[in-house]
Amino acid sequence: MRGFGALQTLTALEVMIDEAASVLGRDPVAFRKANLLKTGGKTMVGNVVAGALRSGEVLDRLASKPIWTGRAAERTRRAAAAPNKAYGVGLACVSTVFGTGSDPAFALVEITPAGRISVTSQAVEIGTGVSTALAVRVADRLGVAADTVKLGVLDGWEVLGLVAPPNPFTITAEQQEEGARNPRWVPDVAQDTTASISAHIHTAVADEAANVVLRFGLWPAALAIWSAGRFGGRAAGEFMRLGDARFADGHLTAAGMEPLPLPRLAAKAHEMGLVVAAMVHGYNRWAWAHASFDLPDGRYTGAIDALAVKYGDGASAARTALMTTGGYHRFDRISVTFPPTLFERIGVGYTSASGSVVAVEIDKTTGAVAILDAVTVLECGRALVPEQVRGQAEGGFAMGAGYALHEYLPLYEGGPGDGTWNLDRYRVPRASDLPVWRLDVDVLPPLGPTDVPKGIAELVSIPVAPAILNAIADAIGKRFDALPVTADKIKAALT
Amino acid sequence: MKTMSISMTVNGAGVGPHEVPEGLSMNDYLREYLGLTGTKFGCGIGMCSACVVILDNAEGTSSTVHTCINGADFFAGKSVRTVEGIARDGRLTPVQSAFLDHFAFQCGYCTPGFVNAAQVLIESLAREPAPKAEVDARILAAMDGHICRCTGYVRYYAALRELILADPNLTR
Repeated sequence: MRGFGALQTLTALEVMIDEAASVLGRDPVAFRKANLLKTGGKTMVGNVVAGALRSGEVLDRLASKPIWTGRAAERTRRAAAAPNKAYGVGLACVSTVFGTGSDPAFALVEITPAGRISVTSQAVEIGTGVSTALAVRVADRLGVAADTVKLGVLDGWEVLGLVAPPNPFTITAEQQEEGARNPRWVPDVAQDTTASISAHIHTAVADEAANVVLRFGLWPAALAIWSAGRFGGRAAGEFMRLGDARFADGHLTAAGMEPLPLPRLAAKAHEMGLVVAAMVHGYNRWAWAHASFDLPDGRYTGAIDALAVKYGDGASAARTALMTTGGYHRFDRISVTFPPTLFERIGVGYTSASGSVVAVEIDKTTGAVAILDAVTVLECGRALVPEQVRGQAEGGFAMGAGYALHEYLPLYEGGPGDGTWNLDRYRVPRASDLPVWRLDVDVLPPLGPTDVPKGIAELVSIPVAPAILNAIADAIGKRFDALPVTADKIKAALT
Repeated sequence: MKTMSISMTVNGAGVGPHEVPEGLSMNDYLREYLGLTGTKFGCGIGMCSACVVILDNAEGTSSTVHTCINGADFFAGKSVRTVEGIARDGRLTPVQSAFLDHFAFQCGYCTPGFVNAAQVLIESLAREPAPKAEVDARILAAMDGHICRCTGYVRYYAALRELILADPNLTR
């Protein structure tokens, strides 16, 4: 269900790395650190992965945890206390992709005269919390989280009138250059909610839409309020830059001007006929398409390839007359740069890293594995909603544990396709199978205040299974190469 | 098709009589006849507990009962609470607030079952407080029958532990 392909291969890889370290007499953490792909390093297909690679930090954090540093002493203590049980601690660390290599997204951000913010997205909410992430992300530009988020919306985007080729993965450079001349052409129009892209792709496009509303709506409204009166009012004394704008407690301020709440800004923006809604499209092929648009009040350059806006209720007749496309003023981009088509050959452009350390206790008589304790460390850039990031790691831990120890679906005849399989035969972990009271999820802080949110929802299930397998090997000296590792298999291996 | 007549008390109000097919499950009765779709259908074989409702006994105790494997006739004449009936006058219970505050659920499909079972646990502790040292075991005993695939259970359990330990009426 999560990270399919990566889950299987990285489980095998991390078990083999662990075995190699053991055979060579090397420390499991040091051995991995000596073989890491480092920042700026190239993947197998020759490209550099985006941003900083933080696997080394993840390993260092894992290695610092008492469950790891104290494992030898704990094993000795337990061997004396319960000789019929075998205690083992295992570690695994992986990095894996988020994104598919062709990720488009729409977003619409609107503010009412009363200052209520609404975000509309095609992203589908299945419980991952993309609704909350979208609401939170626009606070960067608008001061407060959105009041309303509409998810899974398929209608209304025809305002942008986009056209795209049938297969975004096989466009030639010439086709892209030709297509770019049409202001409605994009490499791909819409995408499933998939590949852990909600935080990185969908909220980024919402951020762009909110940025347009800030730049062409809230900011000029603020300037108008601050410079009211003779000779430029109280704003005259300072040189005002959008880059200096900050939100304090949801109020917009800059250069010492009195902080203005969103309802006041929104009312002013509507009254002045400024931009109060922005509909945008973004496209990512391991890099963002970016374009420039000439609005009546200035040029906007951003990580989007299509833009339409609405002006406030008080817009002049001339400005109202511009909103000719479904109630929006739609712009033709004056220039656009799409990511190179050769990026289609890249396997992976974005990655995030996570590792787990798991302590198991095996009953030597029955072969049953109890997971006593565990820690997962991950890095996700900026966590928009920390509780949701940790929630993914907690759910991912359960899935990894099920994959390693419980879940089995036979292939072909007699397998789940015959309609007789249910939760009585397919064993998923219950709370009593997991260290529910003790699971430590440790999220590394971002590198800086402008880190982007990275995808992690699939990643966090992947190091768990190999960590468990490595813990079993540590406990009883046996390695297994087929899953699930059931009590029967362990019992057989011990006799 | 043979039919049977069903009436009962649901969330404090009398419902029925309804003439329903013999053998109709309680899950179908709630969802199809009463429009109470808060009670979910999960595995259908009594394993996941997403489908449980609260059965209130005459002597003042309550228990959760699966609606997927029990007929509507099992509940005939009895008093039942569904997840829709947990909040009073729009005010969430401490269990519901705790689950929200802790981001305890994700997709929400198992949540009505968790809410009902947790509510029964809290009410039983209010009648007979447990020693603080037994709280974790009491939570596990009450909730381990509930399967969740999204959350790994961590926040559901943490929410209940915090709720119970913070209320002096529930422990001793």
